[in-house]
Order: sequence, then C-alpha cells, then structure tokens
Amino acid sequence: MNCSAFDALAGDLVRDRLPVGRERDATLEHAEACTRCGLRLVDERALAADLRALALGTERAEAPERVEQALLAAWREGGIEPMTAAAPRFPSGRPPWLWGTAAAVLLSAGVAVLGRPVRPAPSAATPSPGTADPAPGDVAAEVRRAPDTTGATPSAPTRSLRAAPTPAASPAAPSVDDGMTAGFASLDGTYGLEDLESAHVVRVQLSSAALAALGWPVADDGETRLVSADVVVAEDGIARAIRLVQ
Amino acid sequence: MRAAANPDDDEVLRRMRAGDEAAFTALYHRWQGPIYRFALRMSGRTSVAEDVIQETFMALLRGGEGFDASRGSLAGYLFGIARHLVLHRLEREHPYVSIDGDDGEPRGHVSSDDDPHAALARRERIERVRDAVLSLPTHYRETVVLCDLHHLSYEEASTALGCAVGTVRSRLHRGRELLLGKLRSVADAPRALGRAPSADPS
Repeated sequence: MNCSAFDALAGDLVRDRLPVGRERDATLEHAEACTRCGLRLVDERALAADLRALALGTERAEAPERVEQALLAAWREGGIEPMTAAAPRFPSGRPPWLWGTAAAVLLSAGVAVLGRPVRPAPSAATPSPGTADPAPGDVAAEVRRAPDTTGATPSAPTRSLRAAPTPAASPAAPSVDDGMTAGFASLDGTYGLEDLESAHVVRVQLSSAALAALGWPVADDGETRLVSADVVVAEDGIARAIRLVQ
Repeated sequence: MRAAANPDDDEVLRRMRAGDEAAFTALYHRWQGPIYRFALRMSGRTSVAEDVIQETFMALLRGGEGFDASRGSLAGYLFGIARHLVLHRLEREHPYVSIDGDDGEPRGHVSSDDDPHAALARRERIERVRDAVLSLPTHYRETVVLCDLHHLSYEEASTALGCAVGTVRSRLHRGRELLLGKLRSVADAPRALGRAPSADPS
C-alpha cells in the first residue's frame, strides 16, 4: 500500500467502515511503517472523536412540541392531498442528466428575455391562464439579472416571480400565481412552483434534442430544431420548471 | 442516533396516505429527531431547524409526493427534502451562521462532576469543531453531517444528497481534510478568551 491509497482509506478505517480483512490490515501496517501516514491516522482518529463528541452534544435535540401540534392541526383540517391529485411532475431524485441539460439550456440560451418583474399577490390581478405576460400594473422597478449558474454573465434581465409567503401550516393554500405558472412542468420533484418565494423566468431557445432529454416527445426525424421555452430559475440558480412557448 | 432506514416505513406511509392519523404521528415521532438534528447541525440555528422540520413533514402530509420506495428509503427522501430546505434557507438569508449569539445550536452540557478545567477545555474543543463544520462549504458540510454526525451509510447519504456513492465518498474525504486543516489552524492561533456561551432560546 502506498500513501495515496492510505489517504483514501484512512477515513473509512477510523469510522469503522473498513471491514476486517486484508485491506484493513494493510492500511494499519502502512500507518505503522510510514511516519507521515501514522500522523495522519492520529489526526483522523482525533477528528472522529471530536465529531462523535459534537454529535453527542445534540443527540437529544428534537423539534418543539408546537411543531407537531401545528402539523396535526393541518392534518385535521384536511391538509392531505391524494397523490393522484398532484400536478404532473417529473420523478423525484433529479436524474443525472437534468443538471447538465438545465445548464446547457441556460448556456446555449440566446436569452432573449423581457425585463419585466412581476409581484403577484393574492389580491393582485393575475393574467389570464395560459399566458406568461404579467398585467401591466404589476410592472415594478425591480429588474434583476439572471443568477450566474454557469460562470457566464447573463446578457439580459429576467422577469421575477415573487409569491407571498405561504403559511407553513396551510398545505392547501392556493398558489398566488396560478396564471403565471400555468403550463409549467416541474424539473424538480421536491419543490412545486408554489413553494418558491421568488424566481426568474428566462426565455431560452433550446434544441429538440434537449427537449427530448427533458422528457418531451419529439419526432425523431433526424432534424435539429430550435424551440422557445420559458424556464423558471429559482434564487439558488437551479432551473425548477419549464414550458414551451407557442 | 443512527438514522437508518426502517423497513416498516413503507407500510406506515401507506396507512398514512389512507388517512390514518396515528400512522402520520408514528412517522413524525420516528423521524422528526434525526431530521431536526440534521437541519440544526447544518444551519447552527434552532429557528431554521424548526422551520425545516415543519416544512419537511408538510411535504409528507401532502402524501409524500415524489416518494418512490423503489428508489430509496423514506429516510433518504425526508433527508433529501430537509437538505433542500436548509440549503434554500442558507442561500436566501445569508451565508453566515450564529456562532455565539442568539438562536445558536444548543451547547453541550458539562457535568458538574467534571473537573472544571477539563470540562472547559473539552467544551471549547467541541465548539471549535462545531464552528469548523459550520464553516465548510455546504456540499462538504452536508456530507460530513450526514455521514459523520448522523452515521448514515454512503448509500443512504447518496440517496439524501441525490448523488453517486463515489461522490459522497470523495466529498467526505475532502470535507474531513478541510476540517483537519481548519482545526490545525485554529490550534495554531489560540482563541480569544472570554467568549460567553449562549443559552438556547428554544
């Protein structure tokens, strides 16, 4: 065993994740023979002990009683929704290609974007369903730049969606921006658009191949076409939903 | 302390989805502690942990949308949601955490039977480790928290983090290296004395 192999296994060794056997024996033997790795093992053991002590300090920490009471109240108010009633979503646990595709979408975007922020509120006039354009009265001076997820500087401002905070104990609270979010398919199985407190809508051009990768049925005629789409990008820079533009 | 998958979870979740309140309560009692501690250890703030636990179980209340038992355990699913929520909060609010102010993570208790000097030294050591963990970049921090503080297996952590087992291993390796470096540098530059421990407001 060399020092590089030892480094790779030292953590497993001190965390008791290295099964008894030749590999474990070789790791220990190397630590005895090599001063540098012997010291590394001492450090790793000290760190493991420190982390155990840190975990012990909070091992009994639990959520306060009021959280359970709030959740039970939500349950009794009929907060549970059958899964079949959920909006269609992509499977959770983002597939590996998703991030690459989302990044490619944003990178390859000609990002021809309108710069009108929107602040939908429960009482605000919402645009008619199926349209992406906000009501003129919603236009504010809050024009943001798209978050830099790729290292590239976005070339145009984006529209911003901002939803009023949803009461945590009200699972059935209606979305405040149903009009704005109409027609979007989630790219993220964990969040729905109603969970976003703010986001940007970026209009992009993407290839039919990218659409196919996102799960859309695309005619396999060998031609590559460009299609316009609106992508909802959350404040963390992650693409959350997409819809095609007619 | 270990947050291992429970083979009974799927059945209890099925009953919960059928409207059994006791089943929901059972899942809550089973998992609120680990999830709450994960959020607390990731954020260092009880207020964040409380919000995260509530929102995580709200997702479960909605029927556990997106949970597919064939893809992983309920534990991995819940940790995955909690992780998203924690990261979202950390990114949305500010990248800093409370170190010695209000709303901090509860400090370890020091037994009155301990030698006061040894207890103080031990407490300071734990606080240094805690600060070092909280200062890690989030993708290393979450791996260290899940694998070293919650003792999840690589497979369970990979489910929660939505990445490959190999990625978990490499992040854990790198995270531990960073921790060792931070703790060495702190040891080389002794801390200022007189830092008062904070009380947990929760």
